[in-house]
Amino acid sequence: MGQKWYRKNVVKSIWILAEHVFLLVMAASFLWLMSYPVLRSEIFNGTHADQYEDTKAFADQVLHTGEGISAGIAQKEDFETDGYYDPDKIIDAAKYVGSDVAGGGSESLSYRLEDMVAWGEALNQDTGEAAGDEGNIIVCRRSDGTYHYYEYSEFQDLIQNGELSFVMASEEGGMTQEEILLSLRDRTFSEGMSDLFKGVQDQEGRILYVDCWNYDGYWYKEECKTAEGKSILDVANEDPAWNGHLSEAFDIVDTAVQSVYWNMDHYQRLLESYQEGDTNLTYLYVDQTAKEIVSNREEYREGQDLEATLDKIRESGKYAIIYPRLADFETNMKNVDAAEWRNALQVNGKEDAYIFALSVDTTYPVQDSFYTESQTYAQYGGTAVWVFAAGVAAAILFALGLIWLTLAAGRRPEDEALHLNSFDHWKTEIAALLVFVLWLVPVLLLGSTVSMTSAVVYDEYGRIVHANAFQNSVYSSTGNTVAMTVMILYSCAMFLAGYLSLVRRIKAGTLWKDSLLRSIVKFIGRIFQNLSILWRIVLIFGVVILFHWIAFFSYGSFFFFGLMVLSEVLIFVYMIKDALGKQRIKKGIEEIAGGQVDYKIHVDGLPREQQDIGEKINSIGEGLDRALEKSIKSERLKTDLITNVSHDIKTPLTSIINYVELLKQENFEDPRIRRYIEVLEQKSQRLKTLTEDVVEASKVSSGNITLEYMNINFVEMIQQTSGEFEEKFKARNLTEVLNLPQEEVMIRADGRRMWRVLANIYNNAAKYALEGTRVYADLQVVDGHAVFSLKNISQQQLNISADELTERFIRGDISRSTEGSGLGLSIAKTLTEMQGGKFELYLDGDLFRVTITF
Amino acid sequence: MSKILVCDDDKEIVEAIDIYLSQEGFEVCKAYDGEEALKILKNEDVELLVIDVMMPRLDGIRATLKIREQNNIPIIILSAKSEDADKILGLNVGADDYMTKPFNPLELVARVKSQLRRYTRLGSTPAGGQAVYSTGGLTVNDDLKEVTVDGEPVKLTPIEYNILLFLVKNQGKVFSIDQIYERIWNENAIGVDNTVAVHIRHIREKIEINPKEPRYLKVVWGVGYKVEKL
Repeated sequence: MGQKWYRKNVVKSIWILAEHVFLLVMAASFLWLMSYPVLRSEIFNGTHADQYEDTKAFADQVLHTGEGISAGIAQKEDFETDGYYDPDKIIDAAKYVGSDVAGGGSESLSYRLEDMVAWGEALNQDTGEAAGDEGNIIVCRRSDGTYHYYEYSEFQDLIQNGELSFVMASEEGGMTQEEILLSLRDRTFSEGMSDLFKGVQDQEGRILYVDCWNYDGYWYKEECKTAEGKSILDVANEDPAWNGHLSEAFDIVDTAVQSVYWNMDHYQRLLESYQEGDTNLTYLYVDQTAKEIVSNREEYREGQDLEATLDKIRESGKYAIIYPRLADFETNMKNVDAAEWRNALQVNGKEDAYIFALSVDTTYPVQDSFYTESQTYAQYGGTAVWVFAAGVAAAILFALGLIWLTLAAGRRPEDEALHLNSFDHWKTEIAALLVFVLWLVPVLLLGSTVSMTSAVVYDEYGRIVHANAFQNSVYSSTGNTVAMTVMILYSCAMFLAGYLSLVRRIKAGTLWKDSLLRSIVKFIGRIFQNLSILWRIVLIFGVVILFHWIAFFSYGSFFFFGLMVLSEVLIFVYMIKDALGKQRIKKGIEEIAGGQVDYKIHVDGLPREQQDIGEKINSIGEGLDRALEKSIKSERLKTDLITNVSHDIKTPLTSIINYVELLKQENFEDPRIRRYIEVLEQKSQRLKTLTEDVVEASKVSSGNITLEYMNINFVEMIQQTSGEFEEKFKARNLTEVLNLPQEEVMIRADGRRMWRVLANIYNNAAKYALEGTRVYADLQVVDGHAVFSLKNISQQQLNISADELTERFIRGDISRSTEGSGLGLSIAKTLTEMQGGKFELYLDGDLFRVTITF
Repeated sequence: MSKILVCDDDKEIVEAIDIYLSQEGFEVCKAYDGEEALKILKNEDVELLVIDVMMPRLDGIRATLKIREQNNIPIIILSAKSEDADKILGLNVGADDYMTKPFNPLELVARVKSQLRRYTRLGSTPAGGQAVYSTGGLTVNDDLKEVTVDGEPVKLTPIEYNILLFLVKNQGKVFSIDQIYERIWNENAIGVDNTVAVHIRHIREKIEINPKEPRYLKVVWGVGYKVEKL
């Protein structure tokens, strides 16, 4: 209980309230600092000056003002005649923009200054509405490679008047004169399409032009004509220097108009804003080559003694005097970088023989922006650090509170469970949208009552030079202050509501679970899954094809091309995944088919379809495994049963055998009794063999034996076996014919089991071969395999197939009366196969052959 | 004559064994479970024990274990259990021989005699200096060209004798048919037939109680023959 106090609702509520306060302090600090860029920059510069004149902001202000003045002075040469503004001054556009397209010699594209300024104004006030009829210019090429440009309407008139006509390429050619005109009107002609017509001829049949097409270069509507009253088209037609350079001409004039317009702005500012009496700033520019002095002080312009003038400037307050050499740079301001100033204040890029002096009268006789800033600084300079510190502290506390609330969100002191409120169960997107809308609408409504734009002054580089905006908007009226405060508090409340709900959702893991997007994705997924695989492939293929066609028709749109590549990549990934899955499934099927029925296909990460297949194959395997296990188990049970039963049989059997033996010792005279005892002995011996063989057969067939493999010389093995059976064969007058290779024949097998196999088949021969015949034992090596065969002539007619002979408990019917269990061949076959060999029987009439291959 | 204790829960088997052993002149005590056998052993001067495995109260294996704690008389286990594992277990707990049921009574008698001979003659090694080789109860005296099994002389042909002598001299080592042939006949083994194998079988029939489960001359199938080092 004690250690969970931080989860208490009271604590959370206090933090939430505190967060609002912190945010408010942060915002106030921020807005305050925004209102006083000078104070702000001083804080961030890390220095603190007592007076505005010593701040970097002051130096910057002087520098920026100087830059404007420098730009203005630069325009004097272009815009003034004899020191005064001359609206009729002719400006050569090509020269003004420094272009040498026309060789630099031609001044055909020259305009009156006033016209250009008006044009520039028109351009900059252009509301963006389409010019409607864009100029359609027809370019005609003469045979000498020069061009003539027509407005379309002019060209059309000439053709329709018959002054010009097309020379058609062939009579049956697809297009008439009218149609060619229409095509030109629709701007579908480009250079080199002249196979339709051979050229354009005049009334006398002279070929004037060899080709003509729609101009497709740079064009705009001209606001005025050149100083000579011509249009750009006229210039291009008439001045050989511009012929063939129509597009460049348009471009040059446009650039020239734009820069004249902007330079005029600087020039006017110079004239208007920095007139004597309007500013505390004094500038003096001396061009020592042209012996020209520019200044906003009458006395300096008149003053003949340059040194005296400069001395005056040095005494006037804060000043900076720039010379071409950095070494000569003079200033009494702080935070000034001489090189930066020299580079920024170069007039017209002039690098030698000039003096540029700037000074600010720090007694501020004029109430200009220098004065205002100075006043502000004096008033708030000392406070700024504290405001800033308060803002930072509030930000830290706010972050701390946020962490605290994040950790405690959804938790209660009494348990470890996560508690969601009813809002947290709303669909994620709906909740997010709700919070956003609830926040946005009131904020927009309130925001519209707070005007912030009016008093922000940007310089030409987009920097706020003078921002009393916030001052004006936030602090100026109580209404604004209240509105801002409410907005901030409301934003904070909405943010915390949304954020904490988000945190709780993430903690509970419901962010994605409760989202609409997930529902949609799942819905589409379900539809997709319920499609048959055929339709799915058709659908995927259709989408891919669609992307390709879109990409094809989008003429290289990057987005659609990207979409196409993405779809290809996805298909590739899908195919790879599919192939890998198939491989996995194939391997599984092979393993199961190969007998490893407990093999499991790893279905994780497979596509859904294949997961299904894999699981089904696995269950088939499981079924097989179960069946196999069951059969093994039942086989084992059977073996156990047989073993136990045989133990139980053996005990009484022992007595029978023992007492029969005792009876035999009694030496009965009666031949009948002797006969009975003989039968008893025979049958009890048979029973003994039978029990032993049955146990062995069941063990062998259930695989309940372990093999001890070793390297065995098959030749030696057969010799040994043959030796063992020599007597048995002799007893039935059988001759064994051994046919063995000289060298060793090594096989890998279990020696004792192998003996059992050979003993069984030799026994078989010894028992069932026709008396007095030969038994052939052959061993050969064929293709790296040892092949042993034992052949004999059967005594009885074999009325049974070879397969049946190796079935358990089956023998030639006739031989049922003889000793033996009939399991010998079956045991031999199973044992051979267990050791990896092949056991074959061959019957042909009375010929009986056993073949063992290793 | 020696006193033999026969222990089996099947009275008829005990009875039959009694008859066979008595015929041979042994004195037979009877017990029908392990406990009984232990009691008799404590009281009587028994020289050999024939014991069944599966019996009520105390089975043959545990009885053998107990007996071996203080007694080293020969023990022959007689059991219906014929698995290799059963035989190994029986011999490991201290039995001297293991016979499976149903058994040939004459074989049992032979084994009993063999065990007794070994037991009574234990420690009597032949005089030194003579070329005598032996393993277990099998002795080959090369000076006298005489072979005895548990003291009983065995008649062998010269070739059989040479083969046995060679194997006994190198007891524990396995020799292939070709190696034996080259040693004994002193010529290269060209004729691949069963001569050696037949001789070996003859030797086995003469020196072993049960030639199918030889004690001395063993067949290593597919590799050769050896005389076990006992």
